[in-house]
Amino acid sequence: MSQSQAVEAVRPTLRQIIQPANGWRPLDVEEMWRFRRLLRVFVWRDLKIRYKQAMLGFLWVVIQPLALTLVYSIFFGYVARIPSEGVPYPVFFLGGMILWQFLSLAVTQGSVSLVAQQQIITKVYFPRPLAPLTSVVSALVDFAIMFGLLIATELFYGIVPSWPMLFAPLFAILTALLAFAICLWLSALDALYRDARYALTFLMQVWYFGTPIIYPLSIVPERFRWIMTLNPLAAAIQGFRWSVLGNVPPPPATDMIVAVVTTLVLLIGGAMFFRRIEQRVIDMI
Amino acid sequence: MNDTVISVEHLSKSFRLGEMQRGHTLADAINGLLRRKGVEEAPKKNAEQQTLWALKDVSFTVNRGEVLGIIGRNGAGKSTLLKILSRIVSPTEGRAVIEGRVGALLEVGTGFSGELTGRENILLSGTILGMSQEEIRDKMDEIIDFSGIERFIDTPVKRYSSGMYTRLAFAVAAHLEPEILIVDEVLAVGDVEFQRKCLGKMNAMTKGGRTVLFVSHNMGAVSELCSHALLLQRGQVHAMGETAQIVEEYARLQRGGEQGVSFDDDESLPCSITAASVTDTKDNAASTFDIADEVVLNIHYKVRLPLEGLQVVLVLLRNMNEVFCSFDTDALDSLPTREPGSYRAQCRLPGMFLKAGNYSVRLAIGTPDRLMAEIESALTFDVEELSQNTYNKGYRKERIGHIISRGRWSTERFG
Repeated sequence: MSQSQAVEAVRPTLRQIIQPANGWRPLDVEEMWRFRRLLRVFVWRDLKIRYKQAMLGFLWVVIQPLALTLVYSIFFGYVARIPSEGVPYPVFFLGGMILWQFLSLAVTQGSVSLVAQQQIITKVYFPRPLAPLTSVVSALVDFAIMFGLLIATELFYGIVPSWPMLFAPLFAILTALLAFAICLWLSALDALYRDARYALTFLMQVWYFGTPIIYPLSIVPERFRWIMTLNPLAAAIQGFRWSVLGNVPPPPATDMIVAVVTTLVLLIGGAMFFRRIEQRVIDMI
Repeated sequence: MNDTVISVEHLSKSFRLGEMQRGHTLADAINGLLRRKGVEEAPKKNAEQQTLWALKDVSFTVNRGEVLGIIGRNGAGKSTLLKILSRIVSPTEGRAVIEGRVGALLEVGTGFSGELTGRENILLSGTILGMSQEEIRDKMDEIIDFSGIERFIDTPVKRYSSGMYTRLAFAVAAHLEPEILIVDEVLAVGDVEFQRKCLGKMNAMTKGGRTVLFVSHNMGAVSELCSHALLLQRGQVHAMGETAQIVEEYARLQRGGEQGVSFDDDESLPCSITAASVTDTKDNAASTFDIADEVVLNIHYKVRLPLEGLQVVLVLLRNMNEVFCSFDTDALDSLPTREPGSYRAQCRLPGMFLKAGNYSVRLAIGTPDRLMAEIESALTFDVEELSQNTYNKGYRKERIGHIISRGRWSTERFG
């Protein structure tokens, strides 16, 4: 006890003012940073629980995309002969799919996170945006492993990534921000109306096919091009492929700008919506 | 050292009842919207009544090193107050200023996850409760030792018995050492020996100059631990001062204040519940019953228009679980029409029917096609095992189930 008291004595006294929380408030990033250790433990728990029950555990992070790649390569690459920007189809597919897999995992877990965590949320204080953020960060860990798999597959096909590779993290970050933005919106909505989770499965399916994952951006007909411009994930995936696969052209600058702006708008709007709803949600649950 | 660490100024918290009861799908929300549209002509007073003030204008201060007991009946606002001070819910009005790190223990085993081992849960729960990684690492052995379940510490918690689970959860909680500790009734579980251990630990903690807010129904524990006490009554500060004095005041309230509760009467409704009380068979107000006692629930209501098929609805909850729902008309073949006037409906619950526990009663009134009023936790009472030792009975308080059904057992031996 004396030891921890000594620690506390050094720490400046924290003054907290508790008052009504009304209206539109931005995300308190500084406070979230103070709770980073809790985020780390949440992520650790998430990963631990997700893979603890599976006999093959973490191997699934690798097996799943590999199996998907195999199936898609047979049907779309080999049978349907969908073009793949001059790189072998499996590499092409994997290059887009892992970003999608990351986003989809983050969003499906993150959108129910507020409700899933209600047991803790009603008993202990922490910045509530940590709940959806946890899902994004833990999905990011899966992504890192899948990224290793992608590089290995590339090397297997004799493709050696060059300098654009340095930009790959930027596209991953863009996707992560997009995922976080969506999680903020959906987790708050889901807590209010459970409809959100039912609609999600369907919407993700539509989004999956509306994004150049199994097909390249280049085969999208001109009159549907605008859809790709409006879809921030399309630009992120195109950019990611450009950075890791070599041969693939970068996304058009307009697409890229629209993607970044859309993501930021979604993020800021989502944060404000989440903050506005969170107190009501806690009163309700 | 007489400096103020917690200062609460005019704190209020309201809940919108409609909000809480609204369903969880969009369809419900749309329905709710339509319904609200339909009754728009109804006086605005209605909206006001939908607001429940869990806390109303609460002000007090706590000095460094003080151990403050917070007491009051169920629904007096104790938990809401703790939740505001631990920042889980935000107040509707007023504010509180707190100097120092706050640790809140509002339940046992916050954040525990069944899939993880005991050791992993210590790390998880400890972090959630606000301990740093170093603190947890330093205290890990001490916590495991305190819990007394070293042998199972690397087993997933889902395989624990509830006793083991509680011990481990407590062990983590007991080693939480924030500057200000907020504790809600957690000492009410666990076996007696372990409770002693926790009380001892808490006592040591309070001797160490820590500020503690302690909510409990256990007046013994409050008297033993707290220097001061705060008595809440219907969301307001009823009294604050020396523990002995306040505990006495609480006991007085418990005895005398049980004349029943009255509810605001809304003249715009065709009928309303005006008052309710819990009494014994001799019509004496009471709040605690023995399991063999008959409990009488009295519901007073007023009818303003002749109402066809008017029914009084009573839902009994035990420890927050719904046990049954009963209508005053259940024994009748056809529904009566109630002419304007004042009524009293009485429901007798026989002895040896309700198990020991905390009961609350939700009341409602309405016709088969229209609910006119609903009062959550209109009445509360306790049933205790006073007259008999239930050690080897199936209906002992702690066992599963909510009612006593001794059935008609018979055993014959053949062969």
